[in-house]
Amino acid sequence: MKALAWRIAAGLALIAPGFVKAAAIEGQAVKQPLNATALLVFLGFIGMTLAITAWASRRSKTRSDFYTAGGTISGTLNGVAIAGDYMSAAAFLGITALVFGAGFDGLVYGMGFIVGWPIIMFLVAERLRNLGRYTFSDVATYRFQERPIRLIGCLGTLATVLLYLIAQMVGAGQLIKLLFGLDYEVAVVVLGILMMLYVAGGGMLATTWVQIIKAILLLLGVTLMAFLVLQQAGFSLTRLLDQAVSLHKNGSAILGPSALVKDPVSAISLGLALMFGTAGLPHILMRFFTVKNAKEARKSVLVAVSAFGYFLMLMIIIGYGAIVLVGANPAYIDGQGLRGGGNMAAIHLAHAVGGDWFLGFISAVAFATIIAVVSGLGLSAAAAVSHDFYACFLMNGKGSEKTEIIVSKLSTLGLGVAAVALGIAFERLNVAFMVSLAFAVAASTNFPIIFLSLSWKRFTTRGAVIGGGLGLVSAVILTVLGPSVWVRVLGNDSPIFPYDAPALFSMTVAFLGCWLGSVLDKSPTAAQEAARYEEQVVRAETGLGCAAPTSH
Amino acid sequence: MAGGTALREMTIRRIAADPRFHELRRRRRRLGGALTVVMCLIYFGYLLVASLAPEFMAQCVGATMTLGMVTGVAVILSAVALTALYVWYANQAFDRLVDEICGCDR
Repeated sequence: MKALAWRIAAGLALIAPGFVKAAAIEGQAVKQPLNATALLVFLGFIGMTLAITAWASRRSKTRSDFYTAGGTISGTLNGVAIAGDYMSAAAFLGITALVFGAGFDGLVYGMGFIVGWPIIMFLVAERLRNLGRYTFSDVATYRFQERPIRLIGCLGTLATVLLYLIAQMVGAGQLIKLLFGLDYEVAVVVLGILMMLYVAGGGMLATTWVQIIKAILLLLGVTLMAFLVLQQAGFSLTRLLDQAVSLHKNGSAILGPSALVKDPVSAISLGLALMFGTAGLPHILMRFFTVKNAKEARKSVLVAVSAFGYFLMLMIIIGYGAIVLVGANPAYIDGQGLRGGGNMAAIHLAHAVGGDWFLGFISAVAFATIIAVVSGLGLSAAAAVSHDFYACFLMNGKGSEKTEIIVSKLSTLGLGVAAVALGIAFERLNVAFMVSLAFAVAASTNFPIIFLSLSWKRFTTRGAVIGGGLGLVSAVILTVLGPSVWVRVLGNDSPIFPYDAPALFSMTVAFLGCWLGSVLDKSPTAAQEAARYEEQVVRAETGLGCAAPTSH
Repeated sequence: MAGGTALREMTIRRIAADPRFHELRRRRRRLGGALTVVMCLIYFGYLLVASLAPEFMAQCVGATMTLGMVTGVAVILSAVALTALYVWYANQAFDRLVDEICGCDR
């Protein structure tokens, strides 16, 4: 029974820890019969994306092609791709599940995923584009010592990406098993192979198009779903909410705050991780190098944030629709609650409003969503290994471009194998904490380094290594000692650290470390680094030299 | 790359001394900083009120809507609106300033 509960919780890996209870997670992980439409749409998606990969592989010759599609993506297309990269199954299935289980809390949780976008725009995007080439570490190494910064940047990227990747793989395996009737292991292996094909085969160009197609499919799917839900309610939001209140076991409590924001420290700490973690996600930051200048980078953010805002609005309608059309329909409920577990709310709703055909379509879209997110993660991790670690740290910038491309493709294959292995190893573990830990690490390691190297003259290599390192270590340790790992995974009675979300503390430690490490650094290199700040600012503000196709 | 180094350093020194460059820097920092503070106030303010005064958020406005839901949707819209505001202003002012400062060096 315990193993079963863990399996289901793992299916909910995409929801942050501590709130899994809010979503109805009772239910059985039963395989569903194979749906013909699902298979057709899915095979169509695979066929189309593989054709694009073949096309992209002929156009990806250089290092810049592989990492950034040669900087040729337009701002609008990049914005759609960013939305595709960011609208994960976590958002789609997880937020619906949260609204279905607890109503209002789903809205508060979903909100956390959009407030980071303005921060990316205001503090990072333009200057990142103007200073960097392939990875976010490029920005910090502009005036800092190459090797230590590359190492910490690579560690920050790998920690964020691997945590996120494990959570996606485990959650995806469970979902695919439920949706398509495939075995867990088969599902994970299929995911890993597709990721390797897209990324190693077609680099950033193929990954971009996979994400664009997925974003369009997902937005179409949820638009149609929200439309059908509203149609059932006579296009009246009031009536939809009225029905939801009358049918939900918590009644009108679903229109106000409940478990998610019960104490201010947890709420703020989670909010900080989501807000500043978004601005430190390597696979998102990398997308800004695919456009040609700061103006296109701005357009990318605006398109992405608009698409995501629209998506969130629909999620709320869909979540309340699920309460009315799924929660009150005995066909979708079994002895333990929602059939197939809480994450199935959106999937059942598709069936309730559109029958088998729509169920198949939405299932295939969910699979495409997972593949696109996994591909974006795989590419950014491969770039961290081949560019930051191999080319800049190990070879000190002296290796050839050709070898670097080979290393990046090999890293992609290695990552694919690692993702499959980790996915299978963690199958029975409650990995729900991993997504929020990924955001906490991004907020406590990557974000402080990027932000301070852009805006603080006295920031030094030593400060970056100390602060970034402390942020990484404290985020991991506090999460392990907190309720989501210490109690729910390791089975201890009470947590040593009382909060699920570590970001409030780990970000404080990281910024203090950056500050102390920098002001106490009286070395001559620190003075040189400060002296080069002026030049960095000129380039960051004007984009001078960034258009030239140079290699560094 | 080595050939253009001296020329590039001259360009950078010229730009760094240009008062219009400092104007650009000041304006970008001020706008980005101010909007960051606004976004943080909106979001963390919302989280604080929701966690400290849940009844306040649960009070009804209109037929079925609660204050928390209406303001929650407003928080989401404000994230889009603030981004749009920055992009609109930057397109108007920053790009023109950059072109003026860099001239044909860009």
